[in-house]
Amino acid sequence: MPTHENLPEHATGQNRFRTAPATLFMDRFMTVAIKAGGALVITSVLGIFVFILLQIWPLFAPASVVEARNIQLPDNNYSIIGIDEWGALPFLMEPDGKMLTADFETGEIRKIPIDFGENPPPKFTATTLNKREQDIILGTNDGRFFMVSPKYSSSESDGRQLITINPKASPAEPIGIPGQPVQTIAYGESGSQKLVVAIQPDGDTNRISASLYKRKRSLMGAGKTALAASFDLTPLIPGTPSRIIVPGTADSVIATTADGKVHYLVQNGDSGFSLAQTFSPFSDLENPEIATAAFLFGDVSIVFGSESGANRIFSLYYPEGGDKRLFGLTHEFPSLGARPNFIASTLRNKAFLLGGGNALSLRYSTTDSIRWEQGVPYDPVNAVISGKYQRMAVLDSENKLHFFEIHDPHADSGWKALFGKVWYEGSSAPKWEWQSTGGSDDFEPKYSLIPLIFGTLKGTLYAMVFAVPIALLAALYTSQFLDPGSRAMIKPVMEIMASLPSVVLGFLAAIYIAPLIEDEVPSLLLVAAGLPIIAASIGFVWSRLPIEFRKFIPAGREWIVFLPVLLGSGAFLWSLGPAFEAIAFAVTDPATGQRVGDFRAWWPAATGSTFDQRNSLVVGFMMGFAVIPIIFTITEDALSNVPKSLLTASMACGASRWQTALRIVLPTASAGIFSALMIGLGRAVGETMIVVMATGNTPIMEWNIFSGMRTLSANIAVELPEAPHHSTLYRTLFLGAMVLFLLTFAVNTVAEILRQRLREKFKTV
Amino acid sequence: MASDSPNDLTRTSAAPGEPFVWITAMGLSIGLLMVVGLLGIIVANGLPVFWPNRVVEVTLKPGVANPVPNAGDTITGELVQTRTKRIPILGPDGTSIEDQKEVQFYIGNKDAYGINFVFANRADIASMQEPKDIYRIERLEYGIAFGYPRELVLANGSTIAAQSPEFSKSLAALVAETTARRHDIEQIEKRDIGAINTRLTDLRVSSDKNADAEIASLNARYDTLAAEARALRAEQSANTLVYATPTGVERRLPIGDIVSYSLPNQLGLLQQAGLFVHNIWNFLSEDPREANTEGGIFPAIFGTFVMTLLMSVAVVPFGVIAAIYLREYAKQGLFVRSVRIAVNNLAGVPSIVFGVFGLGFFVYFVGGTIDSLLFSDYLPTPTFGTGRHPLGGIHPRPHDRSSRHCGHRGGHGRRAARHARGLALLRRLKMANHPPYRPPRIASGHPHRSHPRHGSRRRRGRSPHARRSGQTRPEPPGGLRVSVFPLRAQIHAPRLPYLRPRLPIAGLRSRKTNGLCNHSSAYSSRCRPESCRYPHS
Repeated sequence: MPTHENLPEHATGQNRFRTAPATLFMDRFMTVAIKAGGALVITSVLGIFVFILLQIWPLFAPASVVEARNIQLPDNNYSIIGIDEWGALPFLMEPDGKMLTADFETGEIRKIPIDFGENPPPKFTATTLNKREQDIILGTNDGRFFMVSPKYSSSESDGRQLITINPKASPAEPIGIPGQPVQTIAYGESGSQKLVVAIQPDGDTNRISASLYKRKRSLMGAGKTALAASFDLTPLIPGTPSRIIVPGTADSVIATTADGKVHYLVQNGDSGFSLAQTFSPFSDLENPEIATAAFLFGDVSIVFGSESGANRIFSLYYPEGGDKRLFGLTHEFPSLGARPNFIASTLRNKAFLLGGGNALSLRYSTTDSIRWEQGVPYDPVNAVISGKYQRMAVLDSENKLHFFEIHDPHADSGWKALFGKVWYEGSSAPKWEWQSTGGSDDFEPKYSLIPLIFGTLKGTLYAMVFAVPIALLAALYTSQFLDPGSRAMIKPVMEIMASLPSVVLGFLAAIYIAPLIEDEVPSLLLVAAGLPIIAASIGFVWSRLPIEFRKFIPAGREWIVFLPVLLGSGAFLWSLGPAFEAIAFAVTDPATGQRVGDFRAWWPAATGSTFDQRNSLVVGFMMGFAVIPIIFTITEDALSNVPKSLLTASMACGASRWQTALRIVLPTASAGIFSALMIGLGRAVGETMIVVMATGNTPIMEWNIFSGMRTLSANIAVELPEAPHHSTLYRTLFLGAMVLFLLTFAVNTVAEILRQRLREKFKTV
Repeated sequence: MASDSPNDLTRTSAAPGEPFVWITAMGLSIGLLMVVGLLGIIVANGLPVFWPNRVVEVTLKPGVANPVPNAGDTITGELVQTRTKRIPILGPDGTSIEDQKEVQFYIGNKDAYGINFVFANRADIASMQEPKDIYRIERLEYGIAFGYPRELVLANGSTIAAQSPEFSKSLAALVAETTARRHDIEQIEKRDIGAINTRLTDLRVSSDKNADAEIASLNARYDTLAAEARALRAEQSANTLVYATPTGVERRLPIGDIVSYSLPNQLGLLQQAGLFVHNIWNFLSEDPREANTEGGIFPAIFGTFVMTLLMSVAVVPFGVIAAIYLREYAKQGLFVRSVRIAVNNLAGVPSIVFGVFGLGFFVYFVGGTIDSLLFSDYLPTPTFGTGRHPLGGIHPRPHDRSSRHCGHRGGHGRRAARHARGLALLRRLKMANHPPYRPPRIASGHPHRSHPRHGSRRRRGRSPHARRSGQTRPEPPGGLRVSVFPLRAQIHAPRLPYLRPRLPIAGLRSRKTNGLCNHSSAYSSRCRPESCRYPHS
């Protein structure tokens, strides 16, 4: 027994009950530190969502268009307005063939003379700008035309970009009736040919003539263009043509007449043109007259504005069952409210600016969305948008040039583009489609998430169809019927499955399982159908055997007997596959006329859907490896945790072990089982590597089990490495991640809440 | 509740629901079979790769076309697999399916044949024997060679015939010697020259006025080391093994190109087992060679390990603190309960969502910010981010004609540079012990140096167009003459053959053409520049 004297000071007397200051300090410090840490964790979790939301937000933001400056131009009747790629130096053409430029930076106005090489200078009666080639075509009063190329050049001085223009005119070429003034002129240029079309007055009517120029090609590269043929198109067009448009393919002509009809003429080789289609865009309106019309970027769709302000887009596509590409109504926009004076399209996307009657409206054709609309205190008569879709210049009736800065990086996005059915150029109906990149410049990216969400659900469904029965049956057997000795071994073995990385599973699925299953579907069907029947009949026969036989296999050891039986009958059924195929899945071989058993040919013939090697069956099977252990483990735990007293009571009342399991154990553990299913579902929804490798990643929308799919997660894995930072694709992939997150989060939260509810319900037991 | 349940002893008739119990047993059996079967598939397909196979010589029946070029009627190689193909046969009474067995052989000698694997119908094979004295030689390039040695040509001009008793001893000694020397060369090129390069890069971006003197001395040291490495390399090919391929063509192989060799048909079971273990160990412990088609996977294992370790260190404290906070400190209420649900559910959020966040936040935002604040001298070569170009706008966007390709192509180089830069930083932080990879400086006139894009990539403020315009590379001030560029070979050689013509390393190019060109004496390893033979060393 120690005395007081021997004890240290703090342990004596009243100090004995005081905590050491260091401990107190530590305690206070840890309180603060842990609280801070906890708060930090919660903040960072929230931060992830906020960050992803911030990345997604611009997809849904409207365009920002701000007037940057305006420049008063000298009074004149400016015919066309063009602009350079950077939007810094727009030019306007005066009627006398002079060019005028207005510098955006300095506001300087300069007259640029163009040398046409003729004295006296030619008199111009028609001027048109080819937006695609950025060339001007000028028709003279004596039946000729000049081509003028603005020839912009960019240099750098003092860190500033300097844009200069140095227009060059090519020598005049005659067109149509010699000596007659050209009223309207248009041209289109493809790599190999050039088509110039002009309207000239010819007595009482107008004559429309076309000149086709072909570029000679030789080993030395592209040569000069030379006149190949001239055509008189007047007889093809009923009525008096007033406006002509030539697409960049230079093989067709669109002519509109004063009664609001559009005539689509197509070139037939070198022999001439024929009328392919006549339609009236505004035939249902009181005044069907067309006020303005222009091709959109890509020269597949024409935007029409009616006299009353109605705005419709007609695109070329193959109608259902048709073999000719014709124009059809694809998009309709709300009316501008007044007669539109112009349509200015961009060279970057499918946006266009509609202006007239004190209003400007920037619209995006593909998604039917109005990106920006504003009333202006002037009457816009012409406009142009710069090549990079970042600036536009609008000329009003008072000859004032207004510059607008456009900030609209995600014009092709929005709710409709991401989730709605969209009528893309070239397709015959609106559809959901994911196709983020294409081969050509005028390709429209298609960003519908619906096929991806569909693919995710499809993959999940097939995975669950395969995994849930096996996992639940195995868990039920393991927890209720298996003898405790084996159970200690079995459970870890099943859980090994979960430790296989999904990239290994995907790899095996793609290079081992998929080729295996491809040839052996009938065998697989036989096994899938036969095994449960065999299992049940063995059980039936077994339970009717006399006790003398049954005692050799104690209850709880059935699986040991079953393994070889399963292997044997499985192998037997598998080997029956080819015979089964020959009987059930025979198709007529088109080459020989013989009936051949071939499931791969039978499936498309019988169902009309495709058969791919990388299909949902493979994915469902392989995802089973990822999902089964999760469902198995949680279900097994839930079933094992049912109180023993319930089981013994049930048995004591004379229930068999199956009756006990079915009526007592399953309902009691239903909450846990449900939670297991939900967590397994969440795992299947988010699974990435297996689907990337084993599905073929085609974003199709069909439930066909023998075709692939593209899931949200696979889509991110495939496309994110190639997505330019802050591009629409990049943000759309973030949106995909968000959808995936919300999907799993919702499933898990529902599972959690239901689990708590059910737990309350069964609390009494 | 097993054997003592009442239905076992007292009843003789069936207990209700017994068939269903058997169905559940089936579920478990299937589950077990799946696990065992999958592991079995992995093992059965994976391990035989390491087992030293016998080499067989197959004689085809007369008149059968031999898939091996100029090989008469024999195929010599390792037996890979036998498989069945179904062939529909159109007979008089309808189509019948006939199963045909075909055998796949690995014939090696890719430099001689241009192909590695051939198939032959089982029915076409007349006889099969195992030639006792065939050698299996693993080379640095072109994979395995099967052949019969004729003689060793030594540096002093003397020869040792294969029949002479000291042949095998000499060959073993020479191979051991060159293997040791290869290690020395690697040490010089990776460690010593790598250190110089790192220092040179640092000096170049530093504003130190006295850097010139040090740069000069480093360059001098560099020249010495490079000369040393060159001399060692010359020694590597001083001695030559002359062997005949099974088709009878005589070929010469510098001993320095031999990684290992064996006489597969003279190995006993124990020796085979030893070689099997040895092969597995090599696979686990070596760097990959030949554009990841040969060698081992050690870097991948190391990367996995480091990633796991870093993750544990960074995450475990957070997890523990969060758990303690939620359980002990936070007021238990609706908020904490919902947070708990949220945190629990986070476990179910697919990992790719976190990957997306990681790319957007850590790489682009945090990495880009760190680069522009701390490593702006290196830009556009990235250190942590992805190296945004100072002028901006070089990322490929749809509809942007001017920059479509530059950003993409630049990406590979930038990735390579990032790799090296990251390692350099780790080294500075004493986190990685080994020096950053730097390829050897190459004697002037070599494609590495004269490649136009090579140098201009590192200069600031160049527009991507300038990069493409084929200017010759200006010598950077300070005389840094080696860039990280040749790493490109490691990065995109294997899977992107269409990029290969642009690769600066001639060796990789010629290997590519080798696949198209059967008798490639023109591409024999002797006529290529010295240093190209070891693209990964």
